Formats: sequence, structure tokens, C-alpha cells
Amino acid sequence: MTDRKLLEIRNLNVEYRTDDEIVYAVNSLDLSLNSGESLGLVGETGAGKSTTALSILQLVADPPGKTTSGEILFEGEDLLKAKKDFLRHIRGNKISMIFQDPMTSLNPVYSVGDQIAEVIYLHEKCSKSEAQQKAAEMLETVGIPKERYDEYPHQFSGGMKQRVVIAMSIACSPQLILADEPTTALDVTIQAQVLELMNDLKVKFNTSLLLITHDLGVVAQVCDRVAIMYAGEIVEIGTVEEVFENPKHPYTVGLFRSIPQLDEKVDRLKPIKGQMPDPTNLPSGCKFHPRCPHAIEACTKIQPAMTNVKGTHIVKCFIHEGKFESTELMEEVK
Amino acid sequence: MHKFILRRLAMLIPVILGVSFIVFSIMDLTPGDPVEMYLGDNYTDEAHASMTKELGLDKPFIVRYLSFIGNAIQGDFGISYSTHQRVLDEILARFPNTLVLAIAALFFAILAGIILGTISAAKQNSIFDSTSTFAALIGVSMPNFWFGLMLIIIFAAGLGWFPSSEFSGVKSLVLPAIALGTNSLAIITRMTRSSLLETIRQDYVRTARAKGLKEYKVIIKHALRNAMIPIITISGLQFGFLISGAVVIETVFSWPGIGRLLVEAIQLKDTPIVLSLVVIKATMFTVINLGTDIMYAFFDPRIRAQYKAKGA
Repeated sequence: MTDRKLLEIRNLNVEYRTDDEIVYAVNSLDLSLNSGESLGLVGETGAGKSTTALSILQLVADPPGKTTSGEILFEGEDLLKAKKDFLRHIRGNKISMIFQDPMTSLNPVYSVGDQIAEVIYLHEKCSKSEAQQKAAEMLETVGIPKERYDEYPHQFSGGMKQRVVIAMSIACSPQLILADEPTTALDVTIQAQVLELMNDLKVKFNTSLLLITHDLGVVAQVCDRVAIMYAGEIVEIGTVEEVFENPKHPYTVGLFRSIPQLDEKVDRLKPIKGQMPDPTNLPSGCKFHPRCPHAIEACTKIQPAMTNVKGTHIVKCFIHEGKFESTELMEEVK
Repeated sequence: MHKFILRRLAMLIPVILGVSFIVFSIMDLTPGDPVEMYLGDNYTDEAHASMTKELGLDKPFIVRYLSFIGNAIQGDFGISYSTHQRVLDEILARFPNTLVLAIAALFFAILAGIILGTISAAKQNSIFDSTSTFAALIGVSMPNFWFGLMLIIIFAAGLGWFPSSEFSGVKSLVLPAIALGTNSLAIITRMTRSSLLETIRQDYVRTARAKGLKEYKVIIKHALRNAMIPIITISGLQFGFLISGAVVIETVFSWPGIGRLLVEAIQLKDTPIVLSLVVIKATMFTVINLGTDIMYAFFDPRIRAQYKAKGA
């Protein structure tokens, strides 16, 4: 693993504008990813995970989506300012995406083989027959016999379709794969197979991976680092060991606490109290303060800063900023 | 697939029998004496009686119907009561004209309709989109005989680019095809737009974009192909209307087609002509429907698989 930054997102803001309200989906998000590294992006439904991934490839539907500010540097090039031609050269070639629902992300009227060959033909200067041959090899790579090249998506099961989508995303050996909940729509046994497949491919092709999920188990299995997202912001980020063994942010702590333990007898599960805030009307200060058991007055008014607690472990919370209930903070509130 | 087509063609037989029986009954029940039509104004009672016998009109209803069917199977559709010509010759002289006009109108409507509808959907809510919506509204509501007359006034009488009523070659086809096809054009444009707007929002279209395809390829190859089913349905229906409903346009442009022939034959109670034309139209409708179903299979592999399963 090198330390070269492959992807760097700085101060990204994405909104969805409808006639009468604005949904603040991603708010001042900072994120970076080294090459060969895999990062898990964890959060509840509606936390802005998918929007973050889509905005990297500029695939957020516009209208209503709008990237209002920020930078997305891929190999030093800002994708938000890039020309359309350059973006198309990046899409599917250097950065590819695996979508959440394999049932709908394949085109029903083209054979699976041709759908894979399409992306190869587009980005690798080769003949159509070479592209088809490589597509057949890609099918084999993900464990689908190449005899099924000419079959259509409706002839495949959900897990097989997701394999096809994965084959499509790795066909041009991209440097970065954005996997948006790749296993959510699959049942558990197939989930394990797909994760194992992605792990193998990651090692084989030395690809970076941004894995979006709400399943902490999946993160532990696949990722090197993990970022916890809440209401469009990253609240905690660090290596899997740092975050899993020593969660700092009250939200992360709540997430781990809500997972039932096998060796512990409980009558009730322990969810985090309250609901995700309404993204059209986000709370001031720390976005988590209405649900936070430790919230003080300062939390309702001032945004905490990202604070490095140990190693690469960074948390956005006053408790770890060392200012918690300090006079300095009280002054600032006033 | 072949079995499927054969089975569908076999279904033509009951359709034709049913349609011809109904039309035969209606023609028989409506007032008017075909023998009078045949003989003209001056005739004797003897001549009337012998002609009745010659045309077979003295026989019972069911016998007359069955003999018509029997003769028709052998290619004999009888003699026109009004022109005394063989019905088959009369129809063969005019049906190709109708078919050519209908195909030209449909071709114009589908080609322009899909192009306009696609641009409207791809640039939803743009000025182009609202203009085409407005134009489609006018296209649907405008009576086509009026539009035909306007075309004649402007392009035939005024600019002299096209002939107005002369029946010769491709040039004479242009104005009637546009006049006849405009209504269908408006309908196909709207259908293309709404169907495409639905598929454009599908996940697989986003997948296509994520591959790095050019936008026009994303729209045409991935979205439009999936939007084709309702467009084919509506085009098939329109083709049926174009084939049978060209009476007014044929009159405006003096186009020698079957539309006018049918109206005249009904007025003159010319049963053999009416019956033959209706049978032809019913056959055309069935064949067009079959064509539509085959087109579905061409565009959608899932439907293709269904046909294969049924045909086996």
C-alpha cells in the first residue's frame, strides 16, 4: 500500500432542490483514499452515502441534484471541474461503480456478455470481437460460465446479476471501484460469496475500493479503513481496528451498541434513540446533538471540528476535542 | 417463433368468417334493392326477376352467405352491382394505392415522431419540449382534411413544389402522406416522450452513463430501445387507422384508394364490394397486429422467450 492519495474529496456539498425545499444531502464532506486501499462508508439510510459516491462520477441526477461547492480530486484532477470528455474517459475505465440493486441495474434488452463487452470496447482500443472475448473471460473471472454470454438478465438470479455487474465494473481494471451497497439486495449466503469475490479481485488487481454499506460486519470483512457518516457529514474516520475497538463518537458508540451480542442475553435491542434529522431542516451545531446522550449547550450552537485522537483516528466531537464543558467553549457559545 | 406465427395466422380464419358474416347480415338487413342499382332506372318486371335469379338474390340468406364464402375461397369475389366489373379487379386496382399512402404516412409519422419525442424527453422542460408539446396538441386536434387543403394551397397552388391531385410518382405522395400522417405523428411523439421519460430514470440508464458512454448513445441505445414497446403498440394501431380511414384525405387529394371506394359502395348497396373490402381490412388488421407482436419480440428478449415457450 502506497501513501499516494488516489482520491481526495474536499469540502463537498451536494443538495437536492425541489420546488419548495432543499435537501442537504452531503455537507462539507472531506474524505481521502490511497491507492490499493479500501474504505468503508457506513451510515443510516439517508445519510448521504450514495450521493457522495454518485457525485464522484458526476452521476447525481441534475435536476434535482446540485453540487454546490467542493473539490473531488482524482489523481490530482478535479472531477467537478472536468470536461465531459474527460469524465467519460474516467467513468467505467478508471473509476467504476457497482450499484445497489442488481435487479434493475442491468439493461433487460441486451445480453449480459454484450453489456460487459460494451464498456471494454469503449475504453480499450480493441476490435468488437476482442472485446467480446475479454467479456467472456470476465464472466469466467466472476464465476459465470462463458457459455452464458448470450443470455439476458432475466435468465439470471440476483446473485448472478450482481456478479455480472461486478464483472462489468472490473472489466477495464479501474483504479477505484465505488460499490454502493453491493450486497444489500442479496441473501446472506450470496452476500458472503460476492464479498469474497470482491476481496479476491481487490487483491488481484490492486484496486481501491469505496464500499458503501450500513452493515458493520461487511466493513470488518472487507475494509482497511472506515468512515462513519451521519446527516451528510463524516463524524468519525480511522482504520477498522481503531474505530471498531475504540469507537469515539457517541453516534458510532450507539451504532455498535445497537448490534446484539451473541454471548449476551437481552430482552430488548438497544437502538439509538430518536430519528435521523430531516435533511431539509438540519439542526444547528453538531447534527447529532438532538439524539446525543452527552449533548451540552455548546453542541446545539457550534460545529465541533475534526480532531485527531490517536494515529489516523479522527473524530468530530467536542468530547474528544478536549474542550468539552471547558470555559473556553462556554465563552464561544455566549 | 415460426409456430407462433403460423398459429396466429390460423386465427385469421375465424376472424374473417365472423367479420364477413356480420357485414353480410348488416348489408342484407339495410333497406334498398341491389337489383334496382344493377339495372338502373329503366327495367321491366321480367328483367328484374331474371336478374334477381342471376345474382342469386332469390335464395335464402344462409345459402347466399355460404356461396359467397365458397366462391371467395376460390378467388371469385363476385361482380360489382354498380360497375358490373369483377370485384377483385376493382379492389386490386385501388388497394395498392391505399397501402402505399398508408405506409408513407406511417413512415413519416414514426420517423419524425420518434425523433421529436426523443429530443423532447432528453431535453425535458426545455423550449424545444414545450414547443413540441404545443405542436402535438395542434397536430391531434387539427382536422386532417383542413390541413390537407392548407398543404395544397401553400405547397401545390402557391409554391408549386408538389402536385395537388395528379397521381404519379413519389412527388405526388408527399403532401397526402404528410396530411394523413400528422395526426399519428403527434400521437407517436407524445407516446415516445412519455415512454422515454420513464426509462430514462431507470437504474440501467445510470449504469450506462457510469460506463462512460456518450449521452446520445445512452439515450438511444439504452433508454429508447426499452421505451419501444408502447411506441410499437401505438404505431400498429395508427397503421390500422391509416389503412382504413383515408376516405377524407383520398377525397381531398383525389387519391384513387379503397377508402372512397368503400363509401361509394355502401351508398350504392354494392354488397360484393363492401364485403370484400371489409374482409381485406379485417385481414390487414390481423396481420398488422401480428406484425406488432413480432416487433415486440424483436425489441424485448423477455417477450421473445415467452413466444418460444408458447410455440413449443
